[in-house]
Amino acid sequence: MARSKKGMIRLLIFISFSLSLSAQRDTVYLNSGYESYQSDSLLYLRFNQSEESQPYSALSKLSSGETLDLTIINRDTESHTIGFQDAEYSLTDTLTISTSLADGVHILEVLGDEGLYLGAKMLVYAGDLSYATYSWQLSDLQKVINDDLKDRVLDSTWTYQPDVFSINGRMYPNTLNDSLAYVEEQVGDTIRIVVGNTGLMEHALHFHGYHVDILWDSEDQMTNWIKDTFPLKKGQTKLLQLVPHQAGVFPVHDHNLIVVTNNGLYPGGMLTRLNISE
Amino acid sequence: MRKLIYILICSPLLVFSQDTTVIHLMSRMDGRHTLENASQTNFWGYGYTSEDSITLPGPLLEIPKGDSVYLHFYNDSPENHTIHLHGLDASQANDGVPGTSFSVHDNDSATYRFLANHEGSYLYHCHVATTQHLAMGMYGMIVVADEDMRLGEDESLTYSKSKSYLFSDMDRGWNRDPLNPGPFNQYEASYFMVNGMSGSMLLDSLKEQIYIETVDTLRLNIANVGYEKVTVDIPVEVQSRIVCSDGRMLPDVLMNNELELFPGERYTLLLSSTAGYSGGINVLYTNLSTNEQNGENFIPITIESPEGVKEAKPSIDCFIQDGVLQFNCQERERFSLVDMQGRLVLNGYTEAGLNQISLEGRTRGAYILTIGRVVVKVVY
Repeated sequence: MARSKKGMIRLLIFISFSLSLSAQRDTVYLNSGYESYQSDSLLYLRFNQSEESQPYSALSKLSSGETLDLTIINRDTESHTIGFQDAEYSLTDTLTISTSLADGVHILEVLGDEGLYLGAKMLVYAGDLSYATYSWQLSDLQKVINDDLKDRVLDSTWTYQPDVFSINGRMYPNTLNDSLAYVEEQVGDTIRIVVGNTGLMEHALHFHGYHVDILWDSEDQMTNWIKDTFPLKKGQTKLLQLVPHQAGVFPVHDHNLIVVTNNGLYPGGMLTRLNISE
Repeated sequence: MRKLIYILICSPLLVFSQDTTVIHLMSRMDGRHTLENASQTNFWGYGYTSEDSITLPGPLLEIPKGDSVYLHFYNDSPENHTIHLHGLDASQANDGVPGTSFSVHDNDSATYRFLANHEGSYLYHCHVATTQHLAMGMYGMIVVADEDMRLGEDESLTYSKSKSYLFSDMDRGWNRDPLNPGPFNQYEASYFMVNGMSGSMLLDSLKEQIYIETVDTLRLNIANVGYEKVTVDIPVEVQSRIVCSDGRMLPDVLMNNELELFPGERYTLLLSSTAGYSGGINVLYTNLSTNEQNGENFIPITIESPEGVKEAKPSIDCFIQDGVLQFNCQERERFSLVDMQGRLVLNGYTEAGLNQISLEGRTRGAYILTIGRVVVKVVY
């Protein structure tokens, strides 16, 4: 009996050790290209979930305790330096980042002007994946800086006055076509939303219809607060939980209302919706 | 005629019963608002229907906690408008968003219904072409309060007085010419308000000043409906407890004298002091794109001992000679000098004895000098 108990304990230790060492393997592609924007085009540099070049940002997810094993395949014409968790990595063709990750929402980015002004950043979420999980990567860009960077060198100094605002690289109403940005669930469901500001300005998200629990805050300012409007400073990330008490279609948007525009036209930009059914 | 009938049936202003609040608001697009320099600007906004006029901001709506609210809205303007009940978690039909709710057409009316279940500070604003309609002034503040004058269940969170401040900003170019506001992302705040007032208007307005006694605890309801970040800097002489935000109690009461309000955020604080104090709250406005501070306001505070044990009101003799402000102090104390627009000019600590502060290069005019609890007006 004692021997069997010891064996069971050993097995449990082995399982938990194995679990703690299990790695979440993920691959993302760094693509560049042009997207149409108002009767013109915008150069983008984005981490995509597939080889196909798209202006939409990838999300990497792993369960609590897993290590991240992220392969980045560079399909851009230039080499880049990747920043993640205070470390820098050189990316020419392919790079694999293997690292343990604390629970929370982290930002992986191309360092330098291209990362800042072309949107080359993505969110990495480590936590409980048993809930419906959505992701909102908030970004702001300025068209003239984007134009300046088309030769990949920033030639001028610009006063930042952004005119392109997006969630996961999409501007409203295209946010409603993004299964990570447009929330479709039911009353009483537990919904997790991973949110991060990868732009150059500060944002303030406002929820219509509901308050959310801020489960985690990279700056630990509002952990466990219940809010309907909250800031996301530059580089700040949060994990939100929403358990809807009522059915309906409700907007969520930046309440700095210059940001709910596309090229100065309302409505647009950093705006999505929650669609909660009975 | 239809409007007249509507105004007649919409009186009185606010009807309170045990558990129902009825409010009658109207909107217009022909407001004229007096600015600090005495000039006037256009604004769009809300007002009580019975008063047949609009104000900037719209009326402060004070609602007892737990009430069912009927908000009757009459649109007396040539464009569609709505009322979004910001933070009150109204149903989709009552959310005030065109497309998902409904718009109220010109010369038409509608009723919004919601429950005021959580005490705290909220906003209401138009959600039609929101970037412009809000910038033009279509907003106001809602405060939900329990009749027992206590925040939550904790006895230590009772209060004796209440004051509400709504922070906002204005791109004066947009208000001057509402038909040609330019691209909406190029809004540039150029006028900064507390309850629609700015600079010396706030200093001169007795209504907007905070006056409490040392036995009081003041409930301070604050909200930011502008396009900039607002930093509220409460003097260290005043105990400041941050209790509630966005209509929900914080997990722990925060003892903090500085807090930031991003667009759409609200807070409820409790302020008190066991000693007399004169000074004020600095309100700073920061552009969210450039991170540059571009506006300031100052809300005066006076805290005095109750009648009967009132302390002698402290004073200080000061004068300006050859561009140098001079005064004597008994001891080292914190001081600040603000101009009549509420902008901080100088601050620091005085020395015991004669103090001399050069005003050379400063704009001539009136300034407010605060030394410890003493506030004096000086003219340069």
